[in-house]
Amino acid sequence: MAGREKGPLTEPMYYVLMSFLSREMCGTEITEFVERRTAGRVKLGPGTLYTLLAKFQDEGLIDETSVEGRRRTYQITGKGREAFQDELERLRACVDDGLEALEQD
Amino acid sequence: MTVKKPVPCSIYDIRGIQEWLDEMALQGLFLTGVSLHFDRAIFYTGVPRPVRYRLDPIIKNRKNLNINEEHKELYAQMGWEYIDCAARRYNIFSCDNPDTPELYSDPQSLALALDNRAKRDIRLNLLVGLLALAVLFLDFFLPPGRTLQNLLLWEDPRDLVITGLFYIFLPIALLLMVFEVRRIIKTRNTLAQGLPLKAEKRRNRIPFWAWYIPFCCCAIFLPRLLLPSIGWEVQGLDEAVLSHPWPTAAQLEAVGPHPLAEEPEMDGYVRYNDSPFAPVQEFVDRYLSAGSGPDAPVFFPADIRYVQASSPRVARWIYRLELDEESKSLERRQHPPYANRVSELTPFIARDWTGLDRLEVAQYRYRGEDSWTFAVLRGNDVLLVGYTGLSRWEDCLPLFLEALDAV
Repeated sequence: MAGREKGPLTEPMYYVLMSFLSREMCGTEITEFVERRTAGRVKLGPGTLYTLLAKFQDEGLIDETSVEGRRRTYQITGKGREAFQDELERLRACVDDGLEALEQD
Repeated sequence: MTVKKPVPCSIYDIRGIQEWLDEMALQGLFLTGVSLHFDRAIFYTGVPRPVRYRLDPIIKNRKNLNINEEHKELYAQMGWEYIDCAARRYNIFSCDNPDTPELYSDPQSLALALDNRAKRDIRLNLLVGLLALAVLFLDFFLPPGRTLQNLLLWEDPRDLVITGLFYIFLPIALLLMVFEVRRIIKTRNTLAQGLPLKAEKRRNRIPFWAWYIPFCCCAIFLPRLLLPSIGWEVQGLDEAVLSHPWPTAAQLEAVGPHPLAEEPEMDGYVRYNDSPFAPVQEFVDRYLSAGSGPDAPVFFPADIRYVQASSPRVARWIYRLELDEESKSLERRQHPPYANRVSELTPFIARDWTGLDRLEVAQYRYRGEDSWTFAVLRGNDVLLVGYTGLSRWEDCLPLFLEALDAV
């Protein structure tokens, strides 16, 4: 795991990191993105969201790009993209293993 | 109308506190604030309705303890209103819309927030614990060894009790710290595994003042009010009954070049004390005033410090402590502000003397006269004698040994 050394991402971590792939985002935009993307299955509470943003910043997976009033915007870093890519491959491998096991059953 | 209620949960019982506050709302009591130590909660009364209260661990450093406006507004945009800060550990938020997502929508993210808190607490408690142990170590074992001396001799009962209470309370406080950190780590680990927290049994916490004030009274004020700072009893030389027939001024001068014609009338006092480790402690200070008025000469033939310890081992400790103190006193008295200074000091040197475990002698001039102090250790006996005059220590020591043997 080149991007992140601290184990697999949790589901909220995965979607928060995913939200930055297309563009920079602020907190409320991230929440809306995750809810829309998961069709309401994953809902981020503010505690969860801001704890994850702080953690991703500490680990260098995202950067703060601008502060306008109360609105802070973040973007993903190269390390963040690698971490997301690694997680995606891990999940893909999990799904492939599951499908293969089902086919053999 | 406002109502105050004791918080019936530990500050580490996040689930328990949240459930209790939710229940209060269903009874028409809505949280408006908490006491400084989070042992009391303040509610306003209203029409009962479901409200969720959630604790958000504070993860910033001490400077940023209070939530800032930006943080409040962001949470408010997501449906959570800030209520108060609890015991510098959590920010409390409330939400009355049942469709709003939980403050922490997954346990792992709450574990992350607690992780920061746990690491801070571990660092802080470890630092406080190590500092406290270092203070204890320095206080007890390193020079000047005042605590050890006080423990052996009970010279200052008040200080002894206060120090004793400190020694009792400190390990308890350290254990409580360890217990606190364990609880935080356990909570964090439970959440990190994705498991929900369980509420603990409710029990009203003792308000901070209800234990802090009695604690301060017991540990600080009562010893100062009830115990003396000096354990000694003082008696005039005439009425004092000495433990041994110590040599008189005439006897000491008799072994020198100018014996006295008769025993002079001495002034002075005797200080007594006792402790389980040193049942006999005696300090005899004798001086001779020749004439009256400020210019009248004053002679200091000898002062005697005698300690009978409970065992030879204790006697060795006391001997070492007394000798260190006397050495420092002589060193100190070479410099201002002492008007009658010590000069030409030859510090304590070990000497051989048959029948003694240790003998050390310091020689100096005091008030322009030759002086010496010897320290003797023999079995349970510790004897320090300071003398100013013409008699030599080698000639005076046998007189004191005879006195020791006489009882």
